[in-house]
Amino acid sequence: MMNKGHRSNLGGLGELARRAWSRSLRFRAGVVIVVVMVAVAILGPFIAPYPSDGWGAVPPKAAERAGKPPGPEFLLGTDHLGRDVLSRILVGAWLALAQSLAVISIGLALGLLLGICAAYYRQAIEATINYIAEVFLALPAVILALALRMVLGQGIHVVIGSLLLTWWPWYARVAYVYARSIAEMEYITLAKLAGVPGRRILVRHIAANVLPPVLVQAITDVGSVLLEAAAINFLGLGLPPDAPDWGIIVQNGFKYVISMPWISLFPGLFILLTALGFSMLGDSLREELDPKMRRRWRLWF
Amino acid sequence: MPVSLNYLVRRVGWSIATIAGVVILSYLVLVLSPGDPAVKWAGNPRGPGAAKAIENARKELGLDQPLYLQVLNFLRMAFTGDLGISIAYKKPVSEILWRGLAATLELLALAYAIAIPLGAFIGVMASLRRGTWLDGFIQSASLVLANTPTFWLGIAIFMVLSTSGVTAYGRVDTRLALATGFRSITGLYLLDALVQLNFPVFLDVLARTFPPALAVAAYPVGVCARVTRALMADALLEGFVQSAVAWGVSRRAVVWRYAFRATLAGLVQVSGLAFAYSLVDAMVVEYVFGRDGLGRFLFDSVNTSDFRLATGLIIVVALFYVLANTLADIVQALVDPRVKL
Amino acid sequence: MRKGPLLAAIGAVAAISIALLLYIWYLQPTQRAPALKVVVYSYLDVITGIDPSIEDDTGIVVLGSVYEPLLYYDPVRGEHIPALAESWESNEDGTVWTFRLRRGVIFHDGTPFTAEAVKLSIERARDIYRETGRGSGYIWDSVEEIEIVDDYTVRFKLAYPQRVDMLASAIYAGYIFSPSALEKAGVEDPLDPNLERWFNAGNEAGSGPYLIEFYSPESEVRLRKFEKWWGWTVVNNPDAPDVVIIRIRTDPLDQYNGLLAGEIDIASSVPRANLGDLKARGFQIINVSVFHNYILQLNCRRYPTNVTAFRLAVMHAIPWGELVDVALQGFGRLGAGVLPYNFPGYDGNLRYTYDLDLARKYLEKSGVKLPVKVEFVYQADYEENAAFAQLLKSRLADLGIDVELKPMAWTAVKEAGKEVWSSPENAPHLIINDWWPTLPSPYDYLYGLFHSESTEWNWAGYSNPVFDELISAAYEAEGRDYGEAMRLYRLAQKMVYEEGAGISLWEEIRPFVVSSRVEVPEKALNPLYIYVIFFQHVKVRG
Repeated sequence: MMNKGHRSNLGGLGELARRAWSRSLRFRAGVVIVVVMVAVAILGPFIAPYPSDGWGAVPPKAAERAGKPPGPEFLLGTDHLGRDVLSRILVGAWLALAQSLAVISIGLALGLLLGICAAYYRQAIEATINYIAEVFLALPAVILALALRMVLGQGIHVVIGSLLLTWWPWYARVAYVYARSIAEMEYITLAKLAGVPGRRILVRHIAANVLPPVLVQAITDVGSVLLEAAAINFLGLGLPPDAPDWGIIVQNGFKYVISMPWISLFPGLFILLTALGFSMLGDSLREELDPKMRRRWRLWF
Repeated sequence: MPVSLNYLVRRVGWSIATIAGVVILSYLVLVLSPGDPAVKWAGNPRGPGAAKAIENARKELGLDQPLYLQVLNFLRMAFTGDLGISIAYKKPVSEILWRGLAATLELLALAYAIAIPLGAFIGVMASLRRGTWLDGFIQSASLVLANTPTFWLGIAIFMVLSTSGVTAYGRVDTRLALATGFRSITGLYLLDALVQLNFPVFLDVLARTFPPALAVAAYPVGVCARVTRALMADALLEGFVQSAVAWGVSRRAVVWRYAFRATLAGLVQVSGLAFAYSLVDAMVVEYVFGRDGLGRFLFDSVNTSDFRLATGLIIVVALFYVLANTLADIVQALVDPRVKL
Repeated sequence: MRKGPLLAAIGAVAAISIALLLYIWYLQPTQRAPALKVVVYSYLDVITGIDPSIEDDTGIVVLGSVYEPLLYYDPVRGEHIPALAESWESNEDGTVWTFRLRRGVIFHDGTPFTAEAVKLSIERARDIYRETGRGSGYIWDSVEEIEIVDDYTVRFKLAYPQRVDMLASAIYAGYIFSPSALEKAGVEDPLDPNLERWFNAGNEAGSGPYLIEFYSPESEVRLRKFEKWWGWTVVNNPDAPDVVIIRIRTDPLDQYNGLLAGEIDIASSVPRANLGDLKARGFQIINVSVFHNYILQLNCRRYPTNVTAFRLAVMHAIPWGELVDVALQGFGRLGAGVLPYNFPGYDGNLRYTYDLDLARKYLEKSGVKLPVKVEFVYQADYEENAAFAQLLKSRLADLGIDVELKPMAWTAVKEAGKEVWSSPENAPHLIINDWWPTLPSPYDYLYGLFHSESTEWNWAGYSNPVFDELISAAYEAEGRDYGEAMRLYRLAQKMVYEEGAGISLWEEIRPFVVSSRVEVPEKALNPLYIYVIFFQHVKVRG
């Protein structure tokens, strides 16, 4: 596998996507969903029929507007405080994407950096990083969110922080495993003997070999992170209760699920659809990249 | 014995070290959280006797010692199963959490009793009909299942049931339990009911656990189906399966006795991982279905600022995670002779 | 080779038939008919404690059935109901009160009820308050001495005139426990903290109609009928429940589900949006007007709410006209002043208007620079509070005041509120306190919520010596000149109103939902002893 990946690099990712587009229906569906969601995230506040409802403001004459089922005036109905559910969802789209993308991008960078450090410096640093990674792998994000919530109070830092802490170890592990096996390969030893600095070789090989599969994995992970972030917010551990986060809207509607089921139904569908979109993208890319590649990281010890 | 003792010792040692890390980390939550636990413990006294009461509480909680001693002490306590006394409920945290964990475990166990066979079966079906519409459907369906927010699915199942007049609420019918003299000993109601040969309660508990278990099962069904499909596809091409076919072994036997068996190790490991992951799902679903499990304490500990309970919860969940992973790894090593790390 | 399918088929048939048999057995009516009369009451908050002398919060739900005071008070009829005391009298100026106790009463552990128990219980409540400021023992502050005249007569000697019959029927701090508790808890001194711990571990020493069988304050409290209760012959209710389960259900929807599932017979709080549905399904809805109001308190010790003009600006930006409809969906009454409607001292004129222009003027006067951020703490599981919070946030945003919502559970709200005294900078600017009276006197509200020494409940951090003196004078005047006392209370209440330290937002009409299995007669609910259901009067239908 190592040898095969040699030629591919970041530029190869574009090539990969082109191949996937032409071959896989799932990939195309994923692209469509993700593109639509990104568009909604950017345009949401502008296309929402009642933007201030979307941001959480209770409209005037709230009592008259409360609990309206989906209809021509309010396409997805209104919530118990008379806010338009569609506007809430549209305005909240950026929040959903921002939370997951922030976690994945920072987590990826941090993980790769620490993983390579562990592989390169060995000994004490290696042991420390691996140990910390292991400890955080033993904690689900929701539980870490609980801890952060207690220490720091509610807010977006709880969501991002807890997810970041639980996701970086995954990337650190891949980077570490790859980096170590590369470092042990003969030609690296030879290169070192020839006077080429080991660090440069390592970085170049990591970039060439590790990045493409990890990036592909990261695309799938965006969906998983979105689901976890929604769960944290649903439980009331993260954002404040009037934030237009999808998980929070589901939570708000949960109390009224018998009399106003639409409040919880629609934001949940959006979470599902968005996560599905990223999953489809990532999965089909991965199949294209290497049909046999699986998450084998856990086997490593 | 294909697994070296060395591997086992290393694996278990590593797990214990991980737990120790989590315990220390969780103690930091206790230390860093706002508010003085001693004041809370003393019941927020004021007036002439207040200072003394707070001082006594501080001693009692061991908060007058230097931090490293507190941490060491907490580690020692945690490893003997003592997680302190809950601030809000004035009861041992381990006792509170055990009751919750038992409820959650029951839900999880039922969910996986549904998910693994179902997922494996679906996966095998898909792998045998690769490329057909059924395969495509199964693949898409499992992808959708794996990406459904569990809490939302729980709400949906719950809503459909309630509007159709069936309510799966709580863990057991209180009146039935009282009338039949049902007593919970282990906290696992299914087990307790079986041991006491109390079949009405057993069935009642089962009927109430089933709908939330379905919601929890969605994710592992999807995962198991996908993993089985992928592993089966490999296995069916393996030499020994091919030669079994050549020997004229019946198709069913080839599929189940040879090919499927070869996928078991992978399936065990993946479901072990998913099992730990599902713990959080189960906690959330419990909240939806009004079951008194670990999920409730997730709320309650935040809402009541019960740092002791939160600390205990963190440790218990991490313990569960590590345990599930360690077991999955060891089972995998036992089943699959190729794993020699 | 052929054996496999055959075996599988036999196995499947066997499994299905066993399952069927079990199911049929399960459906047997004899198995399902419960021999016990059970009532399940769902309550919204965790039980904060069951020490009969210290508890001043949700523990009342349990204490009310397990312990008895000397007297109960019926605020609707304005009369006392004898409980452990049979008759009482006072001297002319109300400084000496004599109670004659009921004979033949025994505590749950079999020890007899005598004057010694009364002295011990009331002194403990008083002294714990004096020592550590905890509990509602302040009501006994005037009591200098409790004299045991004989086994069935006690005499209260007071420092100043007071209505001890009112104090004795208070909802807290008046419960009588058996002296045997000390021995069981292994303490000599009734003030020993171990006694409190013993109580809170689920032990009791009461004489009430129900005894505690199982106590798990976070989830369930199970009470069993005390067959030797003196009052069974008086209430004459053969259908009284044998077992009462108080189930803690912190989510209103959860209570609704429990009702539908037949798991709950009496629910204290269901989402109001679902009441119509419940009615259609045959549940009875008892609307109880209770002396339970929600008081918005403004932090007087932290910027910017420490500026009086700013507080008044906030008060005039509250959309009063929308409150009851949006937050309570009509189940309530707009509040005024601090006291609830029909309560002594109520003043309906103490209301602010929703007037943004006026609010802007006050803002300008306050000199607070906009935009400004304020924190708002409220109880998360009260749906009306959550709705109000979001409404308030939207309206204050019009003024340039950004409200940060901080929903918490009751115990955490309490912690946050009290911080106004220890570290005002960490205490929220706005907080909702909800109050039900310990005593039927305005003093109870005004002292508890706004007296500078009431650091347990005065979450406004309001500290005004004139106010303190006014209400103390009024309290002391109560036994002498009731009209004068009320006048002073009104003055004090007006001070709070003019300074904008706090306001009663609304009084609730609490819809208790009752299943058809159970009958809750009027006697079982008393607006003073809120959330207590006197289960001895409840009837369980066969």
